[in-house]
Amino acid sequence: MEKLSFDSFDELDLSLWYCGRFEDNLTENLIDLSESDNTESGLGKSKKKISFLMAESFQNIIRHGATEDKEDEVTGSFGITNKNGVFHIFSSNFVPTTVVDSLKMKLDEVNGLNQDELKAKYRNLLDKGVLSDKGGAGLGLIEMARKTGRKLQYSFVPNSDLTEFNLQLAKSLDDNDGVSTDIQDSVAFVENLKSNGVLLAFKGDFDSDTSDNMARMIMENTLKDKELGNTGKRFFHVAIELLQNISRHGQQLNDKTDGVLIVSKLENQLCIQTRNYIEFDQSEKIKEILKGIENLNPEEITKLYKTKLKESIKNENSNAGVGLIDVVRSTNGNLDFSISEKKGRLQLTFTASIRA
Amino acid sequence: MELIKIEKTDLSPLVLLDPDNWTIKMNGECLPEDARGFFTPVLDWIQKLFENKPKKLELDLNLPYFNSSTSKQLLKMFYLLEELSESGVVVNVVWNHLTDDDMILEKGEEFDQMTDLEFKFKQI
Repeated sequence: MEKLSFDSFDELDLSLWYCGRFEDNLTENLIDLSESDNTESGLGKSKKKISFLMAESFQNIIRHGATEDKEDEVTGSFGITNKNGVFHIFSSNFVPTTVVDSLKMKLDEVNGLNQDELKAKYRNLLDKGVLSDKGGAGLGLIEMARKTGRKLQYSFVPNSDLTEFNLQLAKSLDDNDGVSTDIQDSVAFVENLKSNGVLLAFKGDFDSDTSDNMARMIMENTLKDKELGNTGKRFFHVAIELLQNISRHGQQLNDKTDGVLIVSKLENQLCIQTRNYIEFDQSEKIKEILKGIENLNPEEITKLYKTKLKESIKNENSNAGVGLIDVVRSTNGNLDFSISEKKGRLQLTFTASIRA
Repeated sequence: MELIKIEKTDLSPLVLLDPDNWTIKMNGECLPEDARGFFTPVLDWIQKLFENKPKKLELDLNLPYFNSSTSKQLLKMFYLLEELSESGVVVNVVWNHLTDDDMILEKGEEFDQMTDLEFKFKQI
């Protein structure tokens, strides 16, 4: 399978994408994750506004999203990026084709109003108390337009009974116009993510809150997925070890542990890719550990694991590579790594996969 | 000896250190970022048992998932309990696992092999 390239994330301060099932607690996790953006151009004072826009986008997916299959669950895609203080919030979900015309009318109406008119329209709707059976009256759309101060970008992709509804909001932190990405670029990016089976992609600061939030999201989609059984559990273990490896040992620059994590599921294969910066001595250590395992059979790896685990308790600050050896064990050796130099820093990547 | 209860979260287990029944219970997924910090009160409590020796201590573990830094803390705990057992306290370890959960059963078996403690494996 063609792996998603890390390069797609290079120029961004924050990039968070999710394609899959939408449940209420996911909303909270995704908002928390995006709030970990502590870059200079990060959320700061606009945290509330951005979180609000994200929550509105989620509500839009959860309330109005129609289901592709008969099961009572909503699937969709969501993305947020920050490049130099310009945020884009993208959401994509299915709606019944029968509502497309009225939705398009509402969007065009909102896009045709200026800020004062939007405010008046909002008050008017609230006073009337006219609500659709799904609990909205275009209020969400009006709020999105008011809070962003920009036109709502949208597109529809017809697909028989259901139509894909893509919506993108742009918000610049300094309220300048900034550069706005075309919604079609985001649609194409999400198509690429989906064709690679990507469930979750994150680029940003791996602090411990971020790490915990990602752990929760991966947990929902692997460990708690009964269909995956033990495969889901083994994969979860690999993901946690690689994730916590970044948050605990990743090299920091300006108090920020920059990293990328991509979780994908395609043709019964679960895959995780990570990238982060490391110190020179860590690089030597990792090479040594992995070289030491290279030609070992499973029994020998388990023996080595036990020896290293015993060794590790003698030294509080070192895990003696226990986590990494356990990852090799759990993936049956399906762990690739590379170390390369980038802008004077060492970059470590891991790709681990488990077949269901 | 003090009764200590640490409430369960989605990333860390319920911990109950009970001096009335001389039991240590842990129940839930365990993947804290700072496993060392999480286990400190547990190890401190066990350390105090050397001065307040019970006849018997039961360790009841139901950890459906734990990360490798938790493995390190668990082994530290088992070694401490091994010392306690050598000093005359009967220490029983009950390792609970789901019937089809090979990974957790294997991890338990590994701990069993690495220590002199008596592990009882219980399917739940």
